[in-house]
Amino acid sequence: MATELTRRGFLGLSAAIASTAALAACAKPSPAPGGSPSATLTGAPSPTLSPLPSGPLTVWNASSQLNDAIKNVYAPARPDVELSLVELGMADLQERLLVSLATSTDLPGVVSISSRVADQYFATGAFLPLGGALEPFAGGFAESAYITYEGENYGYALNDGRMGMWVNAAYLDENGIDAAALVTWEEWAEAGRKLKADTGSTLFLQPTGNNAADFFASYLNSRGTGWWDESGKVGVDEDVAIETLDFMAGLVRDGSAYVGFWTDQAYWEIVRQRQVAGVQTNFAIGGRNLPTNVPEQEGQWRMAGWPRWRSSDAPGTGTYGSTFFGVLRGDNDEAAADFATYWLTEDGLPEIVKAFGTVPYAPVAETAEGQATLPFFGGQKVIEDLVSLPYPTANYYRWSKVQEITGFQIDQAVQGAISAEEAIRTAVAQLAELA
Amino acid sequence: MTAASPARPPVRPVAPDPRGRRAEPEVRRRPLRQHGRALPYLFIAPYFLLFLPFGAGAVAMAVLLSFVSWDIGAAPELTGLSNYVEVMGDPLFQTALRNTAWMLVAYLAILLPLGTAVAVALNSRNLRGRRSFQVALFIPIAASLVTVALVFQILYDPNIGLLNGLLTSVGLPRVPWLTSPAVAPWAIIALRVWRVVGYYAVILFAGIQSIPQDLYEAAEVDGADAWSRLRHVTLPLLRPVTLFVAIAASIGGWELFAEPQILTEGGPLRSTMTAVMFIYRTSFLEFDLGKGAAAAAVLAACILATTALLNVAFRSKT
Repeated sequence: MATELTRRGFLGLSAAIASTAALAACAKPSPAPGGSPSATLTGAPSPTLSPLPSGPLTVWNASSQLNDAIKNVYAPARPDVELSLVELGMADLQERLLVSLATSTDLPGVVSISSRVADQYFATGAFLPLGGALEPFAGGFAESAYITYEGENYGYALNDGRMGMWVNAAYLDENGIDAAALVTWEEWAEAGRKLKADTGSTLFLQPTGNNAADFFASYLNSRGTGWWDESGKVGVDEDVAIETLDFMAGLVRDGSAYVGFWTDQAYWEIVRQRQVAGVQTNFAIGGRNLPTNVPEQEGQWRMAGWPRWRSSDAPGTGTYGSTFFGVLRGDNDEAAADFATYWLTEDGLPEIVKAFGTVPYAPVAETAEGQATLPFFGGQKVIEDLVSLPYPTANYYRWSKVQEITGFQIDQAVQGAISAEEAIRTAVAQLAELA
Repeated sequence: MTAASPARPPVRPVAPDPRGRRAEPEVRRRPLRQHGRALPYLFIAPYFLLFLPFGAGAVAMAVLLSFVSWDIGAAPELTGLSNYVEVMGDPLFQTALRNTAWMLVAYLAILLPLGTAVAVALNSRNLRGRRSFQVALFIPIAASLVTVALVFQILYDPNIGLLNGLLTSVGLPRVPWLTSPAVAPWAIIALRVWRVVGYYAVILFAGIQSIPQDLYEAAEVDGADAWSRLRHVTLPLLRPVTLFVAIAASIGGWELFAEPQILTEGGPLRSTMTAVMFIYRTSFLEFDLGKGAAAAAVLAACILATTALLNVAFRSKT
């Protein structure tokens, strides 16, 4: 016997099926395994002495440079770990992680995250402080290289975000500028004006938008301040911030800064054409991407440390942020924590140096890569020189919003639409509303 | 409720074939209604079974989300209209909505006449290699949007870009395509128009081809020149297709995201910040799913209002 299905009946049936599916999807997830939110992985034995971890472990990795090492070095070293490596772009990873955290489903054991947005993830309570697992390596770390949240260490900076002044010293020399003799920002600015007048080339970069915000933040923390203090309150020294922004706007007014939205294609091309003779950036870009993209300028470039605001200042630099391995509470916390710290062991450290060039961990200077004299930089021991600069403190809080607020104000000041003071005061007022 | 008919189909008596061949017995096909009225629904059921949870369900979920505050890792809390109040009072959302709206108007104002002009040109009797043109016009829409945006990034580059290279080669000054708030939105509109104009032109061209030839012939007999035929025959009869194109393009215009995200990240000075960029940032970068969903609901209302407006505008002239 056939049953007649009316339009209304059909829609009703479909809605019922859909509702069932939706309810099933929205069902309260089971609590994340791995103990209470306050549980901390403590007392993890030294990686060199501890029994090797075992069991399943899923790693979401956005640091593509490290994928080969994970597969070819970590996996053989931990044969009992059933490793599942998921390679993702950072944006994809962040979206997927957000959805997984919201629904408490399909969470990995380890995930690579940008230090700038870490606070937002840690606030979920899904991440595990590494605590004792990092203790065996504590002596080699700059305190500021730890990724901390509410007093707990959740990881360490994998790549070195320290900023350097990378310059085409040969080109500067051709134009009567001795890069090695320049110490303060004012001296560099004077050199920039001369270069612009003589050749039309620029010595500085001034990115826009989010990059302007990140760029300015790194300048700020090279001066020992930043938008936020450790407690998540606005803690910037406004006078220093105004002076810094005014200086950057001055470089643009002088024509000695290249203003543009950051794109690899454009930036490397203008470097290739010598339209830009100086790049203020972190090691990953200056020390790795520059030689890769402009190989024909081998021998011409140098890393000239980081300029000082006053000649009496101690050497220092800022950081552009970094990525790190975060450990999520799960079924196999021991294996996850072992994975996160493996890269600091005798076997892991050379791999991470190969992948990122350097890490803010003192023994890196003792590795072959750390001691390398780089032909692109005229035989300079770039890593040793860079890691000799103290690792700066940087506090991040709701960074996406900070980028939006501060980037807008910085762009306006740099374009001359408002004064540096107005930009900083407005940014501070808006940031205070976030805190 | 009716019981099913007997299973055996009725067979007509075999009529003698006048040409002497043996005729096959004619089997009368069973009318569709005799299979039950459920059959059409069964055919469309697979679509609805997927659409309801993943299409309508997702929309319902988004609307539901817009009424809750949901800190990741905590249970959602019902907050009434507060997300809507917050999002409507957010100066960044206002800027994003305003940018999207004016860029949409400019986009449609360029796209519709240009698309129609290309369609008319494609329909020209004098055009040789029509198929090649159609293929060429379709290529931009078939290309990956991200790839296209990256190519345009190089074209628009102030120092090494092709466009400024051409301008400076004839003695004109460089244009800050992506670094001036006055120019960047237009650079993005141009990219978007370039990408879709061929696609919509081919749809309009199909519409033109469906216009009966008699009408053109009658107009010609009445002494109408080409312009008059276009104005009084082609455009009025093309209005339903134009309406479709306008609605489809306006939905795409409201949802503008990838181009400004890749080319400018919403800058300079927020001049290319769009509503979907705001939704993306709020939801996925600031983790504020409730506020992002409220912004998405406002955007959906804008899309519906625009669709209704276009319907009224086009139908009132029919």
